[in-house]
Amino acid sequence: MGGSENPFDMLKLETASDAALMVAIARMHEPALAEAYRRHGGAVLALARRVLGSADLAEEVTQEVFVDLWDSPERFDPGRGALRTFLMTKAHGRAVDIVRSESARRRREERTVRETVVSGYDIEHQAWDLAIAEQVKAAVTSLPAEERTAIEMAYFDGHTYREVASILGQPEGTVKSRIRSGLGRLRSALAQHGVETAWTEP
Amino acid sequence: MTHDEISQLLGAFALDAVDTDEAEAIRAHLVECPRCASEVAEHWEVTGLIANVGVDAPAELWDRIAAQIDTDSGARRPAPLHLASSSPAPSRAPTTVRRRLAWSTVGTIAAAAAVVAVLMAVQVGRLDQRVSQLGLATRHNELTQAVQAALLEPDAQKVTLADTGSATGGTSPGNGARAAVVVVLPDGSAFLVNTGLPRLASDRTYQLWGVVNGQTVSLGLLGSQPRDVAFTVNPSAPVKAFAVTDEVAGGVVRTTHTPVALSTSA
Repeated sequence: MGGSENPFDMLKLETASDAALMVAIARMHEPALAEAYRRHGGAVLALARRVLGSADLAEEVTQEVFVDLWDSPERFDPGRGALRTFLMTKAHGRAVDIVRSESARRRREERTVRETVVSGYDIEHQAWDLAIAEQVKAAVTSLPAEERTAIEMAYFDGHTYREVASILGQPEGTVKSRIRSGLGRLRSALAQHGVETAWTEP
Repeated sequence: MTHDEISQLLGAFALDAVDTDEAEAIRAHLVECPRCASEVAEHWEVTGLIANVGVDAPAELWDRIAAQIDTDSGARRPAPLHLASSSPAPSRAPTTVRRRLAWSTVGTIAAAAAVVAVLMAVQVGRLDQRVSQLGLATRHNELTQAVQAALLEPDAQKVTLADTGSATGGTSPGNGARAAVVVVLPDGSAFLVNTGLPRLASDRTYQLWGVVNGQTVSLGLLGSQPRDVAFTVNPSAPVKAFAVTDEVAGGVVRTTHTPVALSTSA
C-alpha cells in the first residue's frame, strides 16, 4: 500500500466519472461524496435558492439531497439519466414541497428582493458554463413567450400549472400543453446546438 | 386518467407543477409505460440544464453535510461490488496481506509448483469456469468503474508487478517498469489492471499466479491482451506474491516459464 510512488494518478477522484463516484459512494467512500458535492452542489443550491428565495432553506434542501444520496445511493439509476439531473430533480421536488407549505408561502410573499447567488467561479465550472450557458440562454430566448412564461412560473416559482393558469387567466389545458411543448422545443433547440443534455464529465 | 390525459401532463409533472393526486396517478402510470417514463426523463434533462447556474458549492455547507453523515454512520452498510465473478465472501478478513515475498527466479516457482502438483490438479478443474467468468467480467462495462472504486478503497491492497525483461525472450535485463497492478479488496474481490503487458500472439495467453500458503496457484487466465480483469481470491488465505507468465492459449496447470512480470517487494 504505502510507497512513495502512486501508480494511480490517473484515477484521482477529480477525474473519475460520476458513475465511478457513485460506486465509491455506495461503498461508503466519503471523499467521493465530497467530490460529487463539489461538482453538483453549487447547481443544486442555486436551483433551490431560486425556487425558495431563501438562502437558509436552500442550504437545508441541498444538505438533505446529498445526505439522501449517501444514505440511499441505489435510488440513483445511471441508466435513466445523469447524476446532475437526478440531484436537480430531487432538489426541485423538495423545494416545491416547502414552497407549497403554508408557512413558507407566507415567508415567500414577504420577500421583496430575490437574493442573488454570488460566488467565485472555478475554472472548470466557468469553462462548462460559458460553453453551455450561451446555448441554453439562446434556446430559452427562442421559445414563444407564452411557453417560456409558463415554464418559468411553474419551475422557478414553484406554481402548479393550475395556479399558472389562474394567474395568467388562461385555460388549464392551454397551460399544461404549453409547458409540455415548450420543454420539447427546448430539448430540440439544445440538441441542435450540440448541447449534451446529460452531464457526463466535469 | 387515461394514457392520453396523463401524457398531456408529463411536462407539468416534470416541473413538479401538478397536484398531489395527479402526481400519484402519473407515477403509477410511469412504472408500466416506458414511453411516458422516457419522456419525463427527457424533460428532466432539459430542466436540469436550464436551472444550471455555475456557482461554487460552499465549503461550509459541505462541512454540515459531512457532520450529518458522520453522525448517522452505521445507518447503512457498504454495498457489495457487483462483479460477474463475485461470490459471497466470508466476513471481512483483516488486511494482513503484505508484499513480503518476491519471486526472483523461475526455480522458486517450479519448486513450489512441484510441491503442490496434486493441489493444482484440483485447481485446474476450476480453471475453465474461471476463464469464462473472466471473459464475462471483461465484457461487463461496469468493470472499469469497479476497478476505479476498488482503487479508492482505503484497505485495498495494491501490488505493482514489474517487468522482468523475459517477455523479450529473456535476453534483455528486466527494466523494472510497471507491467501491471493488482488490487485486492478485503472481501477477496481482486482486479488486475494492465499497464504495460504487450499484446501476445492469438495462440498465447497471459496467466496469473499467486503464492498462497507457500504454494503457487493459478489465479486465472488473462488473455492475449489483458486490460482490466476481475478475479477473486480467498480472503482468509492471503496471496503473498503475484506473477504473470506467457503460456499457450488455454493455460497450463504448472508453468515452466520465467514470469514476464513479478510483484515487487515492498
